[in-house]
Amino acid sequence: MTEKHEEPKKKPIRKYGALGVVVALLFLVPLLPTNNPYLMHVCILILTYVMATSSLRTIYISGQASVGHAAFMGIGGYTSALLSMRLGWTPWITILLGAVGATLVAVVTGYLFSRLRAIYFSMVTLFFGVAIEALMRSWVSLTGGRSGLVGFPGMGVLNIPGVGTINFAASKVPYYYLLLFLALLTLLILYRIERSRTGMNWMAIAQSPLVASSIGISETKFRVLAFAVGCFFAGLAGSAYAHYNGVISSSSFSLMPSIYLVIYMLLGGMGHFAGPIIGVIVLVAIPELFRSLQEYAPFVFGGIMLLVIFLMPQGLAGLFDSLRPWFARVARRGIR
Amino acid sequence: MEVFTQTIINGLVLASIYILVALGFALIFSVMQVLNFAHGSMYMAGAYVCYYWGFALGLPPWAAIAMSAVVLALFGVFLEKFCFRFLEKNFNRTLMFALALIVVMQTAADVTVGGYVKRVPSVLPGLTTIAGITMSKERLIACVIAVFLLLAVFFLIRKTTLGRQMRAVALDRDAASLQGINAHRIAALAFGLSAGLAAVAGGLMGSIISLNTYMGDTMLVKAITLVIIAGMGSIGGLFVSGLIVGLVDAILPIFIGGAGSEVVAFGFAILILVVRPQGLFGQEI
Amino acid sequence: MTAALLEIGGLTKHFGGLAAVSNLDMTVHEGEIVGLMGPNGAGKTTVFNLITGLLRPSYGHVIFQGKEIGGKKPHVVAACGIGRTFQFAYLFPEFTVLENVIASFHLDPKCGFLEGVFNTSSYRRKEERILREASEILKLVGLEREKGVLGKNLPHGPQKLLTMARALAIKPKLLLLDEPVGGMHFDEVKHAISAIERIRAQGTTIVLVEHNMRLMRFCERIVVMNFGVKIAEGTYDEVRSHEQVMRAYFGHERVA
Repeated sequence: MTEKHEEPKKKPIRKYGALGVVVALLFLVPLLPTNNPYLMHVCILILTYVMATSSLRTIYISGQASVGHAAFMGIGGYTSALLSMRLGWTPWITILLGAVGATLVAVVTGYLFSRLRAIYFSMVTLFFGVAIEALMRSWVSLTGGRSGLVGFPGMGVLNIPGVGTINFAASKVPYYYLLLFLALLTLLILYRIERSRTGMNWMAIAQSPLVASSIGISETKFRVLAFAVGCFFAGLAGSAYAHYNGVISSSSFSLMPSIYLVIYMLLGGMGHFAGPIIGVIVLVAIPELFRSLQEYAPFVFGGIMLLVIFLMPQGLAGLFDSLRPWFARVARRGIR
Repeated sequence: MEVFTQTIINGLVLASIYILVALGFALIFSVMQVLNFAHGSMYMAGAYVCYYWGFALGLPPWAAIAMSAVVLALFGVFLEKFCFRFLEKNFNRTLMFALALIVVMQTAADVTVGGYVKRVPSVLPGLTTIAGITMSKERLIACVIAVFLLLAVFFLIRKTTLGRQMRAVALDRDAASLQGINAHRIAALAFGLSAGLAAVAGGLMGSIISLNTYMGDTMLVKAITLVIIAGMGSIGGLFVSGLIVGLVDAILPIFIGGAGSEVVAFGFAILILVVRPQGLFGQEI
Repeated sequence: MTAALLEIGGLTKHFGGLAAVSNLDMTVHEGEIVGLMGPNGAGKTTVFNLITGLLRPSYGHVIFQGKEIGGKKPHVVAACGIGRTFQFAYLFPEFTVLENVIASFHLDPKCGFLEGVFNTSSYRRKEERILREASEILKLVGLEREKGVLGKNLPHGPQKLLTMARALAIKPKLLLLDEPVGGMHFDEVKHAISAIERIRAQGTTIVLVEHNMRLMRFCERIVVMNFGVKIAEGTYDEVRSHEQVMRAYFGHERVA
């Protein structure tokens, strides 16, 4: 289930080449002739969810099955919106502060919940998620209640000396690049942490807290760390998206969105870093692209899930594992 | 005085509905060790199927509820036999399946019957006056039916052989199998029973409030709340926690509004989980 | 007289009404191998659990290198320099044998969290050194050939050797071995014995719980427990012929 610590020494060009091409292509998306605001919106949505789902997976790696992740996106979003709206601070800072706010809550709750095992942890995170959502709905003076907050600033106008001005209000494209940047940063950081000793310690406490403690790994410390890191990026995603959307309301952060995040992650496969990315793309892009069959999209959704559950226990990313030998053979043939 | 009594009645109605749903959820959890997140959808489906039988086919309300219960119970058995049985070893896959089920069922309800403002016809419409206090008959009858069912289930679990078998499987599945109890069959029956209970709850609630495809989500959370407060494995505890939550849900909103009382309820559940994970009545974990 | 590394005084643990360990006094000096014996249920593993922090003592103290460690959390005790193996071979099932040992280098003077994230050259050098040391340890316990095998796929004997390897990775001053050769067959036992000898040669102090008498011969001193109480202490020969020990194991004084 975990990625092997030693990997065959591949030339850096091979390993990063394909990745570099993909990233470059992502930067070029807005330049496509078929580009339109709707496509930009879908891409932004995907990028946001990729951040949220990948950070959820980071929490799951440490053995904590959180079912309340969307709430932290909400905490980040509301914090950022409120700070920019009520205190007039620039969104470029409040987005980070939103993430920090989510992290602070995560540290406290993560510590409180760190004593709980498996199912009980899931249940308490579920409750925490719905409690936060109910709190958002009830604290009308602060959060606008059910109708949410409107009118907090977008990213405004950015003056880059020597390049020109970027007006975020003019189109969705600047937001796309902003979220692309944030998503890539998120993925890079999460990947590096996971491959470092910290990630290994997380996998250790997930497998056996007993053995881990006998070699000096503090279960509490690493559980809280995983939870905090995961919720930081959830908060970041929530705040960035909030400023893009211009509106934030509690219904986006209730139980079902949290559950959807878990579904995206499980479908893509928890064992691979890229799993959440695949899961999000499949489950967000496909329904959006088949808008005409809107009503039946959830059936397709459900159908895909059932297929994966029964045929591919490792999730879609697991497909790569089984296909890799096949790819390798094809690639070798191609070289000749 | 009248408002007070009506509020209490409301609280009792809510309590009995909650307990019906929570009982099914707890049953599946003890017998199959599965957290059936789709249980809320059973409740919702029960309401919708009941509406269908009653409205589209014109059955009298009590028959509609009964038929809905039967249909959902069969569906529950089907689910266990062909789906959950194969997934029970794996928490992730069971979770995914339950979540997929929620989505599919919500869509099905949306597509077939449609969105808001549908109500299940009442079993006994109109108002009645008892001891000088006016209350709606349907709430009363909902309460009565629910209580009756709960007592029946309680009796089933405590006194009948089937109930004993269920308790055996819940305590130790392997040991029960060694005693000759077909654990899979018991699981299927438990699933069917719990789906049926949820369906009745849905049908009863559907006559009190209007249907919507999200009613299942809120009810799921309520059911889990009850189970947490009571503690896993305690049937009697469910009754008590159901009463507490039902009454709180009826009384508190008068003072601090709907969403506020939700926060209180959830906060309390979180507190219990953190301080006393085995619930008020459950066994040590 | 070498310094006392571990001092246990009046150690008692109650579970409800049952005294699993009762008023135990024991001293372990640096460089020794001390054996802990007794029939099943005598409380030996409980003593280990009390030392390593998995259980809190009801009374009494555990002093390691002059500091009280009774009641401290397990990861803190490990950081003090006490390693242990478990009677049931607990390990990380999804890690390979090599990864199991590498993970155990957690306590190695740490690079910080950030250095790991940024993959600095000092971090990489440290990880390479750890890799080399881990391979050394695997050679020491005889598991080098199995280093790519997943923990859950290991047969029983190598699993126990792996728990020893893991305990070594934290470079403990005191190593608690709980039935290290339990369930092993003859050849595996030989491996284990040579591993223990080499560990001893490196200067690590060892406390050994075992039923296998071949291992107990190595011990300079043996403490015998029964029903939570120490009933004898002495060299292998002294203990072997001790009246109470025989009664504990055989039910009567003399083997006819």
